[in-house]
Amino acid sequence: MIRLKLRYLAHVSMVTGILQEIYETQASSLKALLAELDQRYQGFKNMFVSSEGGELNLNAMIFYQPPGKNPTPAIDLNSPLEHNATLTFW
Amino acid sequence: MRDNRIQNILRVNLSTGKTRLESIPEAWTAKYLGCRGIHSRLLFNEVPPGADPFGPDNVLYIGTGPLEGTPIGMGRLSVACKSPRGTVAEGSCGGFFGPELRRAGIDYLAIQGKADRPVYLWIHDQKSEIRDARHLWGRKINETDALLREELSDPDVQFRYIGPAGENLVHSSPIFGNRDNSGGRAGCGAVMGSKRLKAIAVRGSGGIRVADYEGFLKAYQHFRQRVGVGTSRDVWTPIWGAYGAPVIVRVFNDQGGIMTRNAQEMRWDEEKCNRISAEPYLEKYVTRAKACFCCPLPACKKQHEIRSGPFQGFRGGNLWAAIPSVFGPLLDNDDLELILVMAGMCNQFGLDVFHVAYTLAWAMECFEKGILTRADTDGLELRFGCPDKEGVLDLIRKIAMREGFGDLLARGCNEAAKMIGRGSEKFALVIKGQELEAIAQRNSYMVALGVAVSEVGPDHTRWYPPHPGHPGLLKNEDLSRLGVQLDLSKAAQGRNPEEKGKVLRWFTISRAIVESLPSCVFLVRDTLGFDLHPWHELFQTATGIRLDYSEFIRAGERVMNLDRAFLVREGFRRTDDQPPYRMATEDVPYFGFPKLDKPLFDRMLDDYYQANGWSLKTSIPRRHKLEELGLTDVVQDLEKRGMEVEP
Amino acid sequence: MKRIQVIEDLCNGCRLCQTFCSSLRTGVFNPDDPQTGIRILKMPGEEQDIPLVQCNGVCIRPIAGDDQPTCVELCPTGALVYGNLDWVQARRLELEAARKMHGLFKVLAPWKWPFPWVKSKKGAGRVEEGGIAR
Repeated sequence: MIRLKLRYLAHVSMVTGILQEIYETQASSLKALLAELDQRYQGFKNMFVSSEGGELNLNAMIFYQPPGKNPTPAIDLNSPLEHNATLTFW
Repeated sequence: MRDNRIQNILRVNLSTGKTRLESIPEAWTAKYLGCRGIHSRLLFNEVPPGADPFGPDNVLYIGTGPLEGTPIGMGRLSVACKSPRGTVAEGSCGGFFGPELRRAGIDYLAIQGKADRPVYLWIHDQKSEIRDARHLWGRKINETDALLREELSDPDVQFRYIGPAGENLVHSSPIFGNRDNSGGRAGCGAVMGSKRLKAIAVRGSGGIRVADYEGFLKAYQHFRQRVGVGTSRDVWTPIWGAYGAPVIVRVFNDQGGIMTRNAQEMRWDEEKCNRISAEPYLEKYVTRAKACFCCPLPACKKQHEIRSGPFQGFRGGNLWAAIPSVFGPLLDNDDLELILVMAGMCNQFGLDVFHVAYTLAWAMECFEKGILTRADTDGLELRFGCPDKEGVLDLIRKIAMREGFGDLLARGCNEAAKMIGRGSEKFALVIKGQELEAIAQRNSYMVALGVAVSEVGPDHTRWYPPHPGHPGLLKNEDLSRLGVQLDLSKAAQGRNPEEKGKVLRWFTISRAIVESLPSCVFLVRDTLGFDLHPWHELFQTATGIRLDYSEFIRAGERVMNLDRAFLVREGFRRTDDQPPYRMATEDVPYFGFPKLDKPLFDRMLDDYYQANGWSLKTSIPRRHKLEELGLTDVVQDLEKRGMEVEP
Repeated sequence: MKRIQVIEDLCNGCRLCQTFCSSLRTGVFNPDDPQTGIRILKMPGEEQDIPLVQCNGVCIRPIAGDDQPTCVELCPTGALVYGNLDWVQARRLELEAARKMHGLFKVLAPWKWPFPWVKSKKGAGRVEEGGIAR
C-alpha cells in the first residue's frame, strides 16, 4: 500500500469535487491509478487517456513528483509510483 | 475599403494641433509585417537617443497591423514609445480598439509634441479632431469611459485612455481601454500623460477586405483545428479558456516557483495557494465571460463581483495569471477578495499591478527590517500579510496621486531604494529599473535569461510560451524539419544552462512575428510555438503578399534586432542584462536552487548573444547580422554616433 | 421550426458571429454591413452584450456542415444555439442545472464542452451528451 498526494486543478476539480486529497492505493503504475480513480470519479480516466487506444492524452498534463524531487510531466503510463509522491492532474 | 498591403499612419502633433495622414512604404509590410514590427522600425527612425521621455520629441505610437479587423487579429493593439527609463516601451493589449482603428482607415497613430492643456483625440474615419479634455482630467478609468461614451453617444466608439497615475507621470503606468484591458506597462501611460493626452476615441465605418477570401477562410479553419477549439478531445478550452492561468499558483508552488514575501522564499503555504487559485475565483466571484474581438476562447477575460463581506459591491474584471501571485504570496496575503480589490484599484487609477505589488513588497521588507518606520509610511503598519487592509488600499490610491508616502513609491522601488539607501537596494526586484513579473528565475534559467535581456525591462510576454505543450508532442527531428535547430530535452531542463540562449532566441523571434501580424499569443499552443506555417498562410492570404517561410521568420528577427539597436543606442549594454540582486546572490531556501551567479549567467548571455550574432562584449548587434537582415542603415546610424559595431 | 436562438447571459461580446457573418456574403469583414444576419448590442459600461439575430436561420454559408449556421458553430461560449423552441428551452434548463453544480458554466455552455467526459460515438469532432448531438 502506498500513500500519494493527489492534486486536482481547474476542470479536474469539477469531476472530483475536491481540490486535493491524500490517497492510499495498491496501484503500482499510473495506468492502474487512473483506472482506480475512474471508479471513484466517473469520467476521470477519459480526460487523460484516450478511450480508443488507451494512450496518454497529450493535451492534458499529469505532473509526477517523487518525494524530495521536482515535478515533471508524466510520459509513460506504465511508470511506477513511489510512496509519498505527489501527482497533479491538469 | 482597406487593402491590407498598404498601411497608413496618422501623425498627430499636439504642440501645433496639426494632423497628417501618410502611407507607410509598401515594402515595409514584407520586411517588418505590421503592428509591433512597424513600431520597432518607427521608434528607431524617429525617436533620437537622448530624447526626453516626457518631452515633445518622444513619440507615442499606437497601432495595429494587416491582420487586424479579420477574426485572426483578435483585437490586438501595440503601444510603443521610449520609456521613462530609456528602454523600449512596447506592450500589447486586446479589446476592440484595433479593429475600429483599421476600419477608420488608419493602422498607426504617431503622437508627438505636447498639448498646452488636457486634450483627447477623436477620430472618425480618416478625419481627426483634437478636443478639450479638461473635464476628463483627473477622472478614474471607469468614469473616463462613461463620460466619453455619453459625449460621443455611439455605443461602438472605441477608446484608449489613461488614469490619474498616467496623468501624474507615475513611472510604469500603462494605457487602458475597454475598462480593464491595459498595455504598455513600461510607461506608455506616463508618456501619454506627459503629452496631456487623456484619451483617444475612434469610430470607423469601413470594412476589411482580405486579398484571398477563400484561402483565408481555409487557413482560418485550419488554425482553429490546430489550436484545438471545439474538438472532442478539447481539454484545453476549460483549462485556459475558462479557468485561466491563475490556476498556476497551485502548479508552481511545488517547483520553487512562487515568489513569497518579496521572493525571500519561493514556496507558500499550500492551503493559502488553494484559497487564491482560479477554482474559488470562478465559483464565488465570476459573474460573466468577456472576450476580445473574435477570440475563439470562451472566457479568457471575466467580470467579477464581491457579493458579501467587507468589500461587498466591488466589481471588476480581467484577473490575469500573475495578479493573484503578486498580490498574494508576494505580499503574504491569502485574502482573494483583497487581491481583487487591489487589482481593481490599480485598474481604476491606471497603475501597473507589478509596479505596485513589487514596490509594496519592497516597502514591506524594509519595514520589517526597520529600514522604514511608521514615520516614513504616514503611520501605516506596512507588513507582509497586509494586516491593515484599508491602509494598503489607500496607499495604492496615494501612489497614483503621488501623495505622502505614495510619492516615494510612485517612483518605483528602484528609485525609491536609491533615495532611502540603507541597504534597501538589495531587495528591489528590478531589471533595467523596472519591477519584475511573476515568473520565477532560479528554477528556470530560460526565464532568468529572458527577463534579463528583454529590451523593455523584464517582460515575459516577449518570449514565454504560455502553453508549451506536453514533452511527448515534439521531437528534435520535427523541429529540424521546421528549420528550428534545438535540443528540446536540454532546453526543457529548468536548471540546465545549456541550450537556453538558443531557445530564447527562437521564442523571441517567433513571438515578435505573432505580435506583428497581429494575433494573440495566448492562442500559441503546443506545436504552434515552433510551427508558424498556419500564421504564414494567414498572412499571405490576408495581404496577398507572397513571402517565403524563411523570409517570414526573418521579419521577426529584424524586429528583435531593431529593438536591441534602439536599446544600445540609448546606452544600455551587456551589464544591464543582469538578474536582480536577490536572484544573483541568494540561493533559494528549502529547494536549495543555487543563485544565478556570474559564471552561470555569463555563460547563458554568451550563448544568447552568440546565437543572435551580437557582440559578446557589449550586446550590440554585429555588422554581419545587421547586413544579413538588410539593416545597413542601422549600422550606419550606430557608427555615426560613435558606437562600436563589431564585424 | 429551427431558428438561431440566443442564451444572452452567455454572450461574451467577442463578435465572431457578427464579423464572420458580414464576410460570408461579400468577402469583406464589415460588422456594420446592414445585411449582416446577427449583430451584438453592447450595453454601456461593458456590462452586457446582447446578440440580435436578424436572420431566418438558413445560413448562406454554413462552414461546419448544413445543420449548423456558421455563427452557431463559431460561438465560443455556446450563447448561440440552433433548434426549435422546445429544444432551446431544454438547453436553458440544462444550463441552469449545470450552473448549480459548477461555476465553469457561468462562462461556458455544457453543450459546448461535454462534461463529464464521454466516449465519442460519431468519431472526432462530435460528442454526444445525454442523447443530444452538439
